[in-house]
Amino acid sequence: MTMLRLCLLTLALLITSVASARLDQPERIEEPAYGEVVFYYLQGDYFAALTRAQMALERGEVHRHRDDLKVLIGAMYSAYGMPEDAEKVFSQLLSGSVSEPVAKRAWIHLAGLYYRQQKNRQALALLDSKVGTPPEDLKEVYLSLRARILMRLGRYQEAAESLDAFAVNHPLNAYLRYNLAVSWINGEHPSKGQAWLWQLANMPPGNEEVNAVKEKAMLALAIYMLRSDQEERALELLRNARLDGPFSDISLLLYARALLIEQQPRQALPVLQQLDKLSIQRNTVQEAQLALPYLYQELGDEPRAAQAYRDALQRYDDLQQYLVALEGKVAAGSWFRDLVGKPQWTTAMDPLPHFLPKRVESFPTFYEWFASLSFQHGWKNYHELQRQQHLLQQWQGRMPGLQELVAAHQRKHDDVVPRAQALLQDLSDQDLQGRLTRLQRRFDKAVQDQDPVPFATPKERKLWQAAQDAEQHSKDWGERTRPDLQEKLAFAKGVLQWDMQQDIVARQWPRQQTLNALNDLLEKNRQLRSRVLVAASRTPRLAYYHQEIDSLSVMLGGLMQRGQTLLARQQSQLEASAVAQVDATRKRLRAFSAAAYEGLADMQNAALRQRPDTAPSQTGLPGAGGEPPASN
Amino acid sequence: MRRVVGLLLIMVAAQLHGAELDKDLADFKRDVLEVNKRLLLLEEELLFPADTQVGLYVSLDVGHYFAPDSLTLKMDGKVLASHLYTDKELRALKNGAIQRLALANVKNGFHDVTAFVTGIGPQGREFRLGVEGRFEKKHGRHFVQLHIEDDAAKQQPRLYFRDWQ
Repeated sequence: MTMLRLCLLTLALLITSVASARLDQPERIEEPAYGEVVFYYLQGDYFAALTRAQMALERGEVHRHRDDLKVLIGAMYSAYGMPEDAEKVFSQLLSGSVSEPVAKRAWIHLAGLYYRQQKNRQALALLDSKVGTPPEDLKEVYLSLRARILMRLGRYQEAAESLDAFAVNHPLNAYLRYNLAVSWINGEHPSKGQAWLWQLANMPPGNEEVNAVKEKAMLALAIYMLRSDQEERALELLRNARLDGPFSDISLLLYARALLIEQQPRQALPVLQQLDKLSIQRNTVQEAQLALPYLYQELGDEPRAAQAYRDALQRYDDLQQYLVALEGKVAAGSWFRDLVGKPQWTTAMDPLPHFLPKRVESFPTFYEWFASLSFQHGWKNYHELQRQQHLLQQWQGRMPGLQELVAAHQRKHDDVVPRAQALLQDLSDQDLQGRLTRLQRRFDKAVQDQDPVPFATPKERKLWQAAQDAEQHSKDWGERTRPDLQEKLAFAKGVLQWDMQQDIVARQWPRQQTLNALNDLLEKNRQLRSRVLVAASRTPRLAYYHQEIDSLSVMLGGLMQRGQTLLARQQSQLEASAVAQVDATRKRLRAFSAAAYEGLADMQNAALRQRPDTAPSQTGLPGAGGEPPASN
Repeated sequence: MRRVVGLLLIMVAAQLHGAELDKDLADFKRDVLEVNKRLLLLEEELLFPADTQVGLYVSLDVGHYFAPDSLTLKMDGKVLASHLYTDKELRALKNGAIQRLALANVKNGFHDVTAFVTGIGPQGREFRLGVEGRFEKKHGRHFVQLHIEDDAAKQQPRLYFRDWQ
């Protein structure tokens, strides 16, 4: 399982490193929508993050981080298996005017996309010509990507230089160094490769992944030593191998081989016996079946050697039968059903379920395939499809609820709109704005004419009116009016006017304020009225809701059908690969069986040649069975 | 014989479909994303109209002195949301992400918000913090942010609410 975990971790790192290391420094995010996308993105939930990002773009929620968001969308498309969409986003972004840091990020992501599409030269050209010096926060991403591209191109020396500049404690570092060292050991620089593998094998113990890389390095080193006649050193290394690690079976087999090469069959026996206890579905155990009889032969124990050959043949035969039955299960679909199990979904945005390969008893047959990129790719796609089917199903279940919501909005609309329209009509009839305008004009005129009367107190207004009436009466009376009375009246009126004029500004000010307050109120009223108007005229929006629900219902149905077909196709692809794996195992078993028969025949031959007068039963060879030779 | 035919069919079908499967999957994902987006927009518009909508967000700046375990948010005395943090969420928040904790409908005017946060503070001590805030909901969507940041002087976390609009 640890090997699987290691491989999965490595795959995950390879797939997501370009994307995930982008935001590993705290930064200030100014817009909540962008921050929310980043929240999902950093948790690796690309579906939720992409959905939120598209919502943000549709609603125009992101302005300051618009380019950052697009880079993120491109990176997520790329990591989510939508390379065409990713390329489109990056092309659009890079053809416009974006800041240099944003452009560099986009170029690095695009190079990562090309790397995944095996366009290694294009990827390297992008990194070298467009990025140049990477931004500090993307340095590790850039260097690891460059190292991986160079390794694929076979330019190991340059890859090593890239790795030297790479932080030692990065989780990818050890894995990349391991790959490079193995490439060297098999290529032009075996001594360099050996030195790097030695360094890796002697790393301080860490978590399971680190320990697994250490062990892989040790095994690679041991294989190299066995190949280059350094058996003693190989033995020394293998003696320290873990017996509970992910590579314990390979370690045991290699150790046994080294002991046999070193002519130490007695020491090799318990090692092979230990290996023999494991499942025959494992390649190493199948191979060990042939090593055991050879070992007994080396020990001079011919009967046990012959028995070991017979046991091997029996076990190969049993396994062949098991594989035939397994093929049948794969063809019938029951193997896949067992492997998938029943994922427990709680919400639509749940992460993918954990891979539990031990659900199937055939796990050791597919041990290496389960850890391969091709299986993991298909497995992930299958579960992603399942998740999306589940999501679509959930939406389909919620459609009646949405329809009810729209209906409720419609009912409310139908109830409120007539009242709102009556209110608007009432407001319109009252002509509030016209009335205020007229009041303002009167005020302005009074101010301009310096007319104090409009600003008089009620008492003053009464006195002023009385004075006006008295003046009118005196005019009507003509000469009958006493002259002093007219003078008194004029005096009183003058005094009153003087009184009113004396603080005219102070009198005008509150009126002006009242008019301003009325104006403000009217403005608020206008705003409210426009909102009511908008709300009252929402009929097109409601029609849009109805249309949208109808169209989405149809789309949901269609998508669910497509999803089912794709699920079946993805399952078929995985099953076909499983069948191919079984087929390869069967071919290998046939070869092993042939070798076992050959070994057995050789033994019989040798025995007959050495002691032609002795009954074969004493050698324990097949066909003898203790019966007397049919000599006469 | 039927089994052999079945196996052959599986292998042939897989070969035929294998080449285009990835492309079809990408097309499917694109369409599901589009439908999901439209449905979420519609649902949000129906449940939380812009006029009454308020979004409550949580952000964490650096977080040397505090790692939240759980958070409870009250608005106008009623519990609006409770959340237990996973390691992944914490890592995302520490890297600058922002979490939308809740969406709610409120009337225009002033509203009180209260947050209670529990978590691990300096030297692994358990911390329980509370903060109160007030915001005025006006016309249009409104965002309120609960920000948790380090108080370097006191070597303690500090919480505050702030209006985002």
